[in-house]
Amino acid sequence: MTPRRARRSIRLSRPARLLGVLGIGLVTVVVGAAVFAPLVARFSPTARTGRPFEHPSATHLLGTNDIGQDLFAQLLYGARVSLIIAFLSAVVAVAIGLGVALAAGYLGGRVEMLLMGVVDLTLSFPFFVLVIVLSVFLGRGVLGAVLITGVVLWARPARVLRSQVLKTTQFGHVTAARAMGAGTPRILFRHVMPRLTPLIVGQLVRAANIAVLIQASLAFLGLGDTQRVSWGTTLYFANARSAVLTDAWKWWILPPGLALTVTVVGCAFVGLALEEWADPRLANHRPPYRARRVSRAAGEGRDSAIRADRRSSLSVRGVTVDYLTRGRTARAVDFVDLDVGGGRICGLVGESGSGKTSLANALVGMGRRPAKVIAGSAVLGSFELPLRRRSEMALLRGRRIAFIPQNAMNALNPARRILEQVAESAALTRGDAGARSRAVELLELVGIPGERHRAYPHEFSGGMRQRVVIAMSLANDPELLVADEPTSGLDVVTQSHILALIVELRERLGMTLLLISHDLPMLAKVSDDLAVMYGGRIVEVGETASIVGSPIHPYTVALLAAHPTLRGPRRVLAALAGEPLDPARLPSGCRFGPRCPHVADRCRSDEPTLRPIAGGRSVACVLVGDTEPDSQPVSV
Amino acid sequence: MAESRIAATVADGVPVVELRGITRTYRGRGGAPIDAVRDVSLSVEAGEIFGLVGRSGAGKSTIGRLILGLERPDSGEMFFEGRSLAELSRADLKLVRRRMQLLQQDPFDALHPGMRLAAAVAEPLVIAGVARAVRTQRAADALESVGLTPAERFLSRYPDELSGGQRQRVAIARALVARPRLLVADEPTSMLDASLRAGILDLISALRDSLGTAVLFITHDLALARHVCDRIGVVDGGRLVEVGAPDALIDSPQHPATEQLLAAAEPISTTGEKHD
Repeated sequence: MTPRRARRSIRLSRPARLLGVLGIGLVTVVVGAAVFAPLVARFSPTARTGRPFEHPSATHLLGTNDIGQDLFAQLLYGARVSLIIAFLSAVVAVAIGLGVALAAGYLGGRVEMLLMGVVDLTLSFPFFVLVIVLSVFLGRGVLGAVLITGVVLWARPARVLRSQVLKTTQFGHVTAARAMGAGTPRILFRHVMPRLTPLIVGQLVRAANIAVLIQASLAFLGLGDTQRVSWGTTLYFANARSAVLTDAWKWWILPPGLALTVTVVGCAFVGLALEEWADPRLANHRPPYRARRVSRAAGEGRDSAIRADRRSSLSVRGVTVDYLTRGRTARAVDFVDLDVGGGRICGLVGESGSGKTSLANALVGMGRRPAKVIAGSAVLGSFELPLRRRSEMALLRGRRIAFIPQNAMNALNPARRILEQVAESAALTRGDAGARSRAVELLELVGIPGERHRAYPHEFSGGMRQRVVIAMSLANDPELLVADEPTSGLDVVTQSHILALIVELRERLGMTLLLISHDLPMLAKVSDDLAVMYGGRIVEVGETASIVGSPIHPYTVALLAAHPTLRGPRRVLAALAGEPLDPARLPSGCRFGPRCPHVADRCRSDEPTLRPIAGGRSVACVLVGDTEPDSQPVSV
Repeated sequence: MAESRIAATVADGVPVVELRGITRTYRGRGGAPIDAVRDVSLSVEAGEIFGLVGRSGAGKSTIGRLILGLERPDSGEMFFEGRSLAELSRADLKLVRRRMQLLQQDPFDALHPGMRLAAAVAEPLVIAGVARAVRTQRAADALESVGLTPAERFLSRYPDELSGGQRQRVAIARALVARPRLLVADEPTSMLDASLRAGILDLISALRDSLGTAVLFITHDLALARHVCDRIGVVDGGRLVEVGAPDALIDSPQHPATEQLLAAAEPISTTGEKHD
């Protein structure tokens, strides 16, 4: 299990952090110039303090314009008007957008249709035409500029925020608040708005960015307030006085142009960083893994005549997986040995944080950073799996080893027909034509009739999609199939159908299976052997019937007692004391000790090891039978 | 024990919640109507845990949502403590809502990530207009009663500092803080580890025992329902097809849907039907 995310830490990818810092730096320079203009500039921007067209000098750092005003002072003071208009416009635009988004997203129905219609219309309108027309009506003052820009820019924030409002209203805490009778204002302001904050900030920055440009453009076109010094008006006068034709452009046009660029780029950088902060998934911009065809040879490496019924055994020795997070190391899987006989079904059971998923990921080469296989080996049949070389494991996956990750059935491509998706898996080791006929064969094998092969995933129920996922996993005759929670999210009836399918496939194809789940009764129904995991170690392993019939390790006992039964006396379900183990904080001695009802002093000092007892079973408990093999100190 | 409790409340006469012929229809693709809930009548007494069991898509969650007012029925009548919901004014309806609570499946999603536990647990009290001074104390008491002790250690924490089991306890604390008459628990343990399940079920039973709350317990697991419920109703295709005491229902199922749920709990046979 992945260690829990640290609370509220802003963790950005390195490029995003760089951009963010750079952006904040640039924006700070511009804002600083605006705020401290009176301190830095020696002259008023509107006073005639020199001769016309003076070149830069110590007195006039950027020279003067056609009527002898100091251009440096104009640059600094100009930032004030530009930034104030930009900021206020952005606030107006996002406020309108937010109001529309909340109304449309929360009220829905006709209101939403009407509002989103207006949004679409606004977005499709030629933007600059609108600005110019509005500026004629709304005048040239600061208020006019703010209103124009706000009215032009509100539609995009409205659209972006509405989709987030829609998502947020689906959250459980919003449903819970509605169910407890909370009023609309409370739901909107207490539950929905806080979850929009990162997006709102991002939209503000983005709107300010565009507003700076609009303001400058309007002023440049002479539609702004020419009495006020801004970057736009400076450019307007420069153009009007033909500065481009003389070398005055170097200090008249270039500096305000650069200032605009710096502001826009700075805002854009901050915006990008904020966007990632709002949606951390953007940080993983690694391209999706693409199946490598080059490795067709890898599939041919084994004798293709042996299609099925290889019954390769799996032998795992000393596998250890660490999670490396911020200098701390948490051991998720601790020196695990596990043997699965060829063609047998082994159920690996444990609760959250037991390390079962980490072990499975290690065996199929799916361990992602921060998980790392630091030791151990595994032999499948007579083939040693290169556990610690992920690229080599990737070549085996989908061929010798098949893996069905948790929730795979919800990860099918919604836009492609299921036949194509199964064929894509099969194409790893054969040509396209062969892949297609193989896909048909596989889908029939998992019980999906031919007339449904061209359906899309959304046309299938959860159980049917899980069948598709199983078909994909079988595409290249795996020797080992590892399935993580293969029935979670399915109702009990569908669960039993999927389990029946798995048993049937094992019988027909002779592959070896490792099924991982927290649901012990479910695993007990299908598996030949059970391995019980706790705190990164296997605490009991043996034949399913014998473990379920007479569990020995106190944890196994507790796990079995926690499940209700359909018949027999209605006994009290035994709640296991304490919380599941945190791999970052392991107790000394037996890891189950703190929750164990039979804990003794020895348990805190001695580390139990997995020792064989009678009946082919092994148990890791210091209290279990040193003398008599059938001694069972534990009974509930 | 269950019988005597039911008898006692029957003497009071009025069930906490009663549905009569409730139907809810969705418009499916192409405008064809889909009956999510068809002509369902049921009642839950004070202090009773009524299990709604069925496969996914059977309509059991929709029944819960209808009772909570998250959706409106297309036809039929609903009564809360004897009063018809259709005849209540908006203001009265709000008051009634405050006496119901929802416990959801996903403990990670059920709590607002930006609200401290004190605020999250006290939210039903805020909605009910309870004075601020009283709220914190009652939130603390609620946290203690679900085993999050000492409450002071939890009040100022945020949900993502807690494990899934702890979060579900917080959700229960929030559900019980305003002493509801009805709790709709929609698959409250299906996302928790088995080892934590019993603790959550105990809390729900304790809530029923101490406050006499009526509980609608929605699950797809018949064994689990048998364990906590006084009566079980099996839902199939939007209809309530069978209602009975748990053991009677399991020992002699009358409806094919019940038989199917029972068969799913039996050992695997590879010759079974294949309709997911």
